[in-house]
Amino acid sequence: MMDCRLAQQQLEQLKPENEPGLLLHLRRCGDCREYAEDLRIARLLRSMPAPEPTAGFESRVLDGAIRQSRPARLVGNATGWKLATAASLLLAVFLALPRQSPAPAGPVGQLAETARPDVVPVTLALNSGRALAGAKIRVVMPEHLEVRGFENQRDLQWRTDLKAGANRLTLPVQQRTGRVNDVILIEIEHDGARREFRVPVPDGNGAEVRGQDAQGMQTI
Amino acid sequence: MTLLRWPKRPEDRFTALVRPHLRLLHRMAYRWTQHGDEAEDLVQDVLTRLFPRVAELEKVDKLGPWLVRVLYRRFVDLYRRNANSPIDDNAEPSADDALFDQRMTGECEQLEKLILQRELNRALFSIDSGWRDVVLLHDVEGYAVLEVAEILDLNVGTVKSRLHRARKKLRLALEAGTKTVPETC
Repeated sequence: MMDCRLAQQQLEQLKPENEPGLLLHLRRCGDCREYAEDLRIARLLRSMPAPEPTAGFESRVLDGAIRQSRPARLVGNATGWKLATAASLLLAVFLALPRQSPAPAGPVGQLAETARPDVVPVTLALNSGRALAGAKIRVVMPEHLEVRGFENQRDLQWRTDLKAGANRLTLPVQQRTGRVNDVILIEIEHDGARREFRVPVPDGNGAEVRGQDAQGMQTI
Repeated sequence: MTLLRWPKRPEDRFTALVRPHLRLLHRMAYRWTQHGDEAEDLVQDVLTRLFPRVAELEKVDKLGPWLVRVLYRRFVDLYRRNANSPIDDNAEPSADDALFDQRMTGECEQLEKLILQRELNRALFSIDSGWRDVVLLHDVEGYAVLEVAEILDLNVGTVKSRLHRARKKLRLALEAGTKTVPETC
């Protein structure tokens, strides 16, 4: 005589045809009949169909969402930053705009290739006297330039680890309308200390320029 | 020289995070709305609201259930909160029979299964929506009781109790429903 435990084990195995012993048990056992019906319903529910989305669904909903809303800022905002003496920060910044014509000369110019006609890679070199883990970098673009992917967002902030020595960062910059001969503001903050660099931007004829700190002192 | 990594564009970060879950979101949205176009609109609406919160999304441990929870709340806001308003014609969705009818072209065994599933789906949309939500997540989609509790913001005991009651109702509905299988079978 089959018991409930064995009957329920056999029901769970989903055999194409049930054994005579199981059928006999089910005829006599209300609990196992209920269990069998619950199993049948559970299997039907688990395989309940749903339509596939139409072609291009993923691109449609992602493009729509991104088009309709953009973040106001990259990270937080600049208010409340501590002004500190920057004795521990030995940073230097220079900026290299690629020469459009003639061909670039020198190592920096070679690195700054112009990938697209409307995008100018702008290279920043940050020389640090020591490693600065989790340093906050802030870049404020002038009116006539913007970073590709962050259009209409002039104030960009993020955190990164600066290694001791030279650290290079290339920004994909594109031209906007507005006045030229402005400055890119770069701030580095680490452990409460902050240093600010103002990097003059020429009108795109490819000059290499050097950053000056906020006090007007040449830093390179 | 160390190369510093320029932060990825928010749209790229957002896409990388949510794209693997989009079909799940569409399926869940369909389960609740019972309409393919409305499911897509609901997913689009949720993504539009989430895009500015990409940094928050990056910190979520299990993003799939988290997204389903956000989707569910938005569904409730758009469909159920307005259902009792005399000036709003939004109401609880009704069962999508068409999905089953258009698939009933196969073998007899498959046909019988679809007929039973159509009956079950009708029964699901005739019971209390709170019970239905639990069945859809646990029995249809396979979420654990704890996950269902988190998604629906219920305690575990309530989830278990609703599951038990809903299953009883479904069993009765399936016994009483019309399950006409074509004579050729």
